[in-house]
Amino acid sequence: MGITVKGERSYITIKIDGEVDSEAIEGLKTQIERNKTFFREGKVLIRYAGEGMPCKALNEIIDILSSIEYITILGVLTEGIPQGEGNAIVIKKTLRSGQSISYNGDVVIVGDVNAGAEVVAEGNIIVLGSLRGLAHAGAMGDRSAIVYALDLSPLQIRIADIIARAPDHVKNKSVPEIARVENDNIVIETFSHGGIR
Amino acid sequence: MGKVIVVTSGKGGVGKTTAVANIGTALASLDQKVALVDADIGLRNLDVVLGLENRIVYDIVDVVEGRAKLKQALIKDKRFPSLYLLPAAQTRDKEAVSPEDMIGLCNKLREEFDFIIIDSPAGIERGFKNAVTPADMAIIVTTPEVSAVRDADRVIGLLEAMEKEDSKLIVNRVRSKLVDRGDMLSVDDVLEILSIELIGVIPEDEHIIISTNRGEPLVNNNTAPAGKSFMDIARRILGEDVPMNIYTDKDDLFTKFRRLFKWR
Repeated sequence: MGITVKGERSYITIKIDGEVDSEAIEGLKTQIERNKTFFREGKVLIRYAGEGMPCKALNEIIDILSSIEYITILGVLTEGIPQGEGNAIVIKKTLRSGQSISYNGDVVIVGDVNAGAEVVAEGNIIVLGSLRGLAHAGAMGDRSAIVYALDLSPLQIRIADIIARAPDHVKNKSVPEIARVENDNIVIETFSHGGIR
Repeated sequence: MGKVIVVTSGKGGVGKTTAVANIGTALASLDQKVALVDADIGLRNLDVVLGLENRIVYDIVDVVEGRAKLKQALIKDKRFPSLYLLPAAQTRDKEAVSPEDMIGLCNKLREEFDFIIIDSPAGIERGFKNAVTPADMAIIVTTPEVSAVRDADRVIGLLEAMEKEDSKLIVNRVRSKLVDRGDMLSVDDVLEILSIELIGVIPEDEHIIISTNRGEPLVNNNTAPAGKSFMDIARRILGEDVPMNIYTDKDDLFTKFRRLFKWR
């Protein structure tokens, strides 16, 4: 909760989480005053990770930051995804045998995941193509994670600590499907539109 | 300036060497000056397939280590005067040559030849890196088998990682009858997985076995379906727009008659 300031490699992130009151904003102001050398490099990314938009507080923070001349705001990220960290990467290529992606958020692949390739995500995995390799969603134990693919025919699916392998007989049709955990088992359902029931 | 083409596959035994020999011969018969480079040091056999085994004096390692000039090591083919072979060393291993050596070697060859075709060893280790590093274009050979397609996929991924953008596919040893019965992956199935451009389909053809053992590339033989397919590939490499014919190993009327008489 509140405001956290963190130095990244080439910029500083100011993360706003949940409710922010005027006290927290004052705190940020004094923090910037006190740590001038830390902020000297000047590039700041604002990340908002709460539900809904506290427009007033956010605007106030942006006003404060833009009034300080040695600070430039790189951008404002809003992340209303209920997965805590809630960040995602989009990979616009086919993952081939021997290639792997692991990420501490959601992974979206615009392309295929071929047999022998691996995708490991702390969040959800979405493949806009054929998933034929290995997918491990919720790798840090999040059983609410899902795996979705336009053609879900992986060798193995893992969600959190549960492993399911492909049936030995080839399925006949390729339709969009979603895999999720239900009662300690991975279930797979066709899924085209309409959301999770 | 010549173009360097590597023929590679990942999996062994899918027909890399046969492809190099036949594409090389086909290009030479189309009046191109071609150098074939065997990068499979320690397990050389391109020379055998070309029937040039007994002419080797110097090899690629001799050139790299300065014991011979490039011109001395190049063997002129006995049928096509514009076809040359740079043989691999048999008594050394892959470590005897580095990727940088191969770049240097190919740059010299580029000045003399229109096409330099490198026969890559199986695997993805040093020998593969040696063969692939100098190439402008890669031809990946696979058969319609799941294991070969898997390895081809791996190799395409490695080529992408090395920023080799120009990759083409040959599907070798296709047996139409098995495909029709649904017992073999079709060319379309393979393409769906690998999603790269097709440059040729070679049917299973017993002429290949005979020609490989005799050391005479098939392209000389106008009746062999595989020979015709390799000729088409050579034309496509030269930029011609050749329709993708899958020559079947069906018997023509004449052989049918001949068989009928034999049978009696």
